[in-house]
Amino acid sequence: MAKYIVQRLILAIPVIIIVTVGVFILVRVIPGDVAALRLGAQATPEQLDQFREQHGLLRPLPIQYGDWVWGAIRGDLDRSLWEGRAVTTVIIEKFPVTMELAILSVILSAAIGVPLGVLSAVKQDTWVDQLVRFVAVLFLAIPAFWLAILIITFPSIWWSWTPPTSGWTHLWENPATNLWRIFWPAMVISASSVALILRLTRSSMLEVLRQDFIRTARSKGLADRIVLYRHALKNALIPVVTVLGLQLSVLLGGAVIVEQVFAIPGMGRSMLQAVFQRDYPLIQGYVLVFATVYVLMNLLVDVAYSYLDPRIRY
Amino acid sequence: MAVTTKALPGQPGLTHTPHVSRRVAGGLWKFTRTKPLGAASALVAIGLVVVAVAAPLIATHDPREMSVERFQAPGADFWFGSDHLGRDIFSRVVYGSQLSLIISLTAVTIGTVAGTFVGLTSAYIGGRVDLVIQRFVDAMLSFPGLVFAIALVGLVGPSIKNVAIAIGIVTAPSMARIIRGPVFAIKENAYVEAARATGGNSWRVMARHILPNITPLIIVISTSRLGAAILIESGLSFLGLGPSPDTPTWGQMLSGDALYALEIAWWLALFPGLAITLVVLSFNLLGDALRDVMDPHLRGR
Repeated sequence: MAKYIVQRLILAIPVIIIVTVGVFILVRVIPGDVAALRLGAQATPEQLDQFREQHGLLRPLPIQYGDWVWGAIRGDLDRSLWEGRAVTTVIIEKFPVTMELAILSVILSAAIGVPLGVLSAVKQDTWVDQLVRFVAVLFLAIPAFWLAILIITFPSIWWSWTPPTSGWTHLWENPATNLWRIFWPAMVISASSVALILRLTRSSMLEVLRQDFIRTARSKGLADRIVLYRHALKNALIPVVTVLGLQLSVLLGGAVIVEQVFAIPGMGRSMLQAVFQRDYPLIQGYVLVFATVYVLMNLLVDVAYSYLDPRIRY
Repeated sequence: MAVTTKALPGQPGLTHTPHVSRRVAGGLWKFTRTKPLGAASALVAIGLVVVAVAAPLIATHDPREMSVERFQAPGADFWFGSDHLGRDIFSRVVYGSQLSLIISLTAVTIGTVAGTFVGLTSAYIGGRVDLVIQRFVDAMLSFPGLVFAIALVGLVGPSIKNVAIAIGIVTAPSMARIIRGPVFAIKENAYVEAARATGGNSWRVMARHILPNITPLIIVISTSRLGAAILIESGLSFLGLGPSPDTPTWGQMLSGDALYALEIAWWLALFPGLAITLVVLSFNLLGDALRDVMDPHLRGR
């Protein structure tokens, strides 16, 4: 197993290199000069050049990249061209907020999607199944930011109640306040993934229920409940776990947009701003974060897979 | 299914026209009967095209015209109400359909062509080439679609063309990945071997013998990608990364100044979002129905 993990990590290196080189070239090749944006319209060409010189933007691209990689290995991702703060400092400040949102959304997706999926499969083709499936299809079509807007607008008109959209308390400062603040955005972000998990659980469950060992379990007189949960669900969940793991990075992306509506101080606004301002080091930092999360989650999913399904051995 | 019918000698293809049209009609009827939800979705999709094309006839106001009648509730004059600048929301929703349609169709076409090309060649050549290409696909897949699109459009600058290309680029890698598997299976078939043995070059074999086999799959996937494309487009518009603020789009109607006026004018929030949801819903359902009809193996995926 350890050998397999090391192998996978080595295979991940080219992916990270491609991603970072790609972004590195992209941000610099595309028109829009950070120096001109940063110093404003009245800056003289000398001032612009001085800014570029100062931040090492005039050096050849391969050297800039090599420098950045060497820094990244030592845990230094350069400084933001606008704020002057270290990129790692900005990421350490913003990332946990967005990650908390994404993780809570994954938990909600599993907690809501799996039971509903099982229910839907057990009650196959009844009105319960039809209703659950319809809601799932609907949730896959609703844009998350619209759902967020609806949750802020209508309860306030009907019951003069709004979910909290101002202030921020960290989880470790006051868990209750933090979780209440983050609960509604997490619900919104997880809506489409609840639907996805639900559909997957349902179809996976239906497939497992048709198999021989389920008939054997039933015919030896086991209670329905035991057959359902101990035999069927355990097997049906294997593909679900895979998708849940992969959903994390999708939900991380969903968080970026929903954060805007709920005014949550996560990566969303900061990343958007970095893109608009051509803050190269900050963009590169965020891209590295996304790629790393993706690669690690993929690995984690594969490891979890072999744990859940003992037939799979690496 | 893509079956190449060749007119036999003495049986000119043209005389078959009525027969073919009857077969098409019969097929449509069967589709409607077995997949009523899919047929209803197809109607909504056709409706979207009609609304987009006939927008000037359907709209009751000029979508850009401002008036002093701000925040009017839905009624006889303003069917969906009016916004913070006194513009008619109904007309803006109607005109918004044009952009959603243009961008989603262009984006999915770009994504489908690029994704199919990459997936097909990568799997056909196989070996090291496949290994390298798939690492590039991995790299592109490592961003959530929306984040990738935000970065691309944010850097290149928002415009209709850029938004469509960005969504196309975002769509391509997953397309390439999905197509790769079936191509691996198909290229092992004896008839592909035979085509190669008789000296057909690779491009010809791919185009004539492999592509027709994955065409149903491509149609199914690209239909279901239309909904996703509209979702990404509306997300970009919402973030201010859509076409110029002057062009009415559904996502942009839910953003900016409108966002601060929702509590006094709920209709600002309701209608554009309903439009997005309805269209995405019907594209998704249509995709599901087509999948069930065209490729039973994919059912439930």
